[in-house]
Amino acid sequence: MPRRRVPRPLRVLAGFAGGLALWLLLAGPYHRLVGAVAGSAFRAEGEGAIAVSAGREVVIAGPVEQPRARVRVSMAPVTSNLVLLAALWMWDPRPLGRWKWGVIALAALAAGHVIAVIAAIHSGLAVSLEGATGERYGAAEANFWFALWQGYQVVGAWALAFGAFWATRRSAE
Amino acid sequence: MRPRATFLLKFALLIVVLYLAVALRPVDRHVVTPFSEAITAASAWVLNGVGEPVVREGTMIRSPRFAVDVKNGCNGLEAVLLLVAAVLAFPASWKAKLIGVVGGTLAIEALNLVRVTSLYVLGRDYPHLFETFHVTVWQAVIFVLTIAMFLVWSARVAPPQSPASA
Repeated sequence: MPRRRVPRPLRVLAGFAGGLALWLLLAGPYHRLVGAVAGSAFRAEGEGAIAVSAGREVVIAGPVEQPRARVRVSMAPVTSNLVLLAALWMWDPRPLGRWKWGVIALAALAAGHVIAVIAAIHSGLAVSLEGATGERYGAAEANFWFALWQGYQVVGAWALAFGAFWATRRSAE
Repeated sequence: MRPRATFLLKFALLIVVLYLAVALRPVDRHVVTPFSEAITAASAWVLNGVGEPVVREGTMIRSPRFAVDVKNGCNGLEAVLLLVAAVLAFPASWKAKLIGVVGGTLAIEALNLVRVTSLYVLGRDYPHLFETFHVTVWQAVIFVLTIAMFLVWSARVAPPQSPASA
C-alpha cells in the first residue's frame, strides 16, 4: 500500500512548531554557549572585556580602560533564525535529503550567531564609549560594526537561514 | 558553476546591496520612515475599524493601555528585501520577476498588517508574551511565508532542469 504524503502546509507547520519548541527549550544553554565563544573570541582580540551570559542576553563588561561601559546583547534576535530553518527543512517531502550538508548548514548558522554577537559587542561599545570612540574605534570601524549588527538583525539572520535551506535541498539541483 | 551555487552567490550579493541601499540615511529619511508611517496609519485604521480605539503619532500606535512603535524590522521591508533578492537572483523572465516582486510585496505587507495589529492586541492583553511573539514567532512566520511564496513562484516559473523543482 503506498504511503500517504503529509500535505506540505502541515509539514511546514509541524517543522515550525517543533523548531519553536526546541528553541524555547534549548535557547538558555545555547545562548550561554554562543556568548561564551563570542566572549572568548572578543578577549582573544585583546579587548580585555568579560562576557557573562544570562540565557536571554549576553552582558559584556567594558574594556579595562573603560570598565563602566556595559553592552547588553539580547540573544533572541540572534538565534531565532533556527526556527525558520526547522520550518523550511520540512518544505520538501524528504527533509534533509543531503544531511551532511545539513550539518554544515547548522555549523554555518552557529558561526553566524557568534559573529553577530561579536558585531553587537563592538557596535554597542562604540556607542557606549561615545567620547572615547575616536580613540578606540575609527568612524569607519564603528560604522562597519553597526551596519553588520543592524543588517544581521533586520535581514541577515533570515537570509542566512534561507541560504542554509537552499544549500541543503535535495530537489534544488 | 552549479546553478545552486550561482543562485546563492547572486542572492547574497543582492541582499547586501539592497540592505545597504535602504540603510542610507537619505533613503531612510525620505523612503523608509514615510513607509513605516504609512504602515502604522493602516494598522491604526484597521484597529479602529475593529473597535480598538487607538491614536497614531508618527510610527507609534497608542492607547491608554498599550503602545507599539513600528520601527525598521517591523514594517515588512526586511521580508520584502529577502523576496526581491531571491526573485532577482533566480533564472526567470523579467516579466515573471516583476509579477513575483509586486505580488509578493503586496502579500507581505498585507500579512504585516495582521502582525502589527495582532502584536498590539497581544501586548495589551498578554504583555508577558509580547517579546517572544514580537522577536521570534511573528518574525519567523513572516519569513516562512515570504520564502514559501518564493518557492511556489520559483517552481512555476523555473525553466526546465533549473534549480527549483519545489
